[in-house]
Amino acid sequence: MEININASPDNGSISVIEVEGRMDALSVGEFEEKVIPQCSVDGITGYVIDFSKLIYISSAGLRAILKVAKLCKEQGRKVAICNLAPEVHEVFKISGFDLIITVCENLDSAKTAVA
Amino acid sequence: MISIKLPAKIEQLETINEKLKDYLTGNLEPLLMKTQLVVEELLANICNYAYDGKGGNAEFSCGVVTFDGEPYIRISFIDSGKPFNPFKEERNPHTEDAVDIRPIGGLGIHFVKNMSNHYIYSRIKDCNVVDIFIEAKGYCEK
Repeated sequence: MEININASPDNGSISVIEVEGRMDALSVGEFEEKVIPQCSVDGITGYVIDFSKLIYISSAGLRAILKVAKLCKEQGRKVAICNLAPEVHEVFKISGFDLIITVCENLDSAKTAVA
Repeated sequence: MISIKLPAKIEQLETINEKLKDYLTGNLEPLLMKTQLVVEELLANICNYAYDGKGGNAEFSCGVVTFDGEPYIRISFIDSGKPFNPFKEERNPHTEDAVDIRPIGGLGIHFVKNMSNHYIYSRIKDCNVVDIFIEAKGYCEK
């Protein structure tokens, strides 16, 4: 799994987190290690998790997403997820995550949602 | 058909996924992710609950079978851990709870049930036997 975190000035107070590959029981530790500390970075008010290059997610991956969403909510920060592949979107629907986390079609709409 | 005996450790997922990738090719490839998801959740369940994280062995097999005249991918896990019916012991996945109150966890077997067409648990000769069937109609034509 590759994770690319982009909190450049171009994005203002929004941090864009690109996740590539698989979020499963083997790789989810890396996601938590890199992304959870980002949830308390000063000056960031919204997070977009871009899944355009994510090909697989399991319950282990969703647990990590839920941890991030809970942390952000506690701190009054917004989270949106975008660009889900159909198979990944199906997992979100079955879990009900599409109802509790903002899911957007593309990066621009996700940035607008957390602005 | 895939048939392997392995330590019941989540690290074995990599080996299993490679074998599934090699097996579910061509017309069956669209079923790869669903199959891998079911397999990961079942393996995690065996590691965490049947053996209480203490380790043991498991037998895994996967193949295309005909059931009531229709093709299915059959996934089977056998372990010698304590009696554990994952379909009976399922925790409430709380799929309608809001972010702040939703518990972390409980989704694995919920996925297995929703991604498969049939699921069966048996306790045979001191072993837990789980069989999962995923419909493959439309994916098996040559």
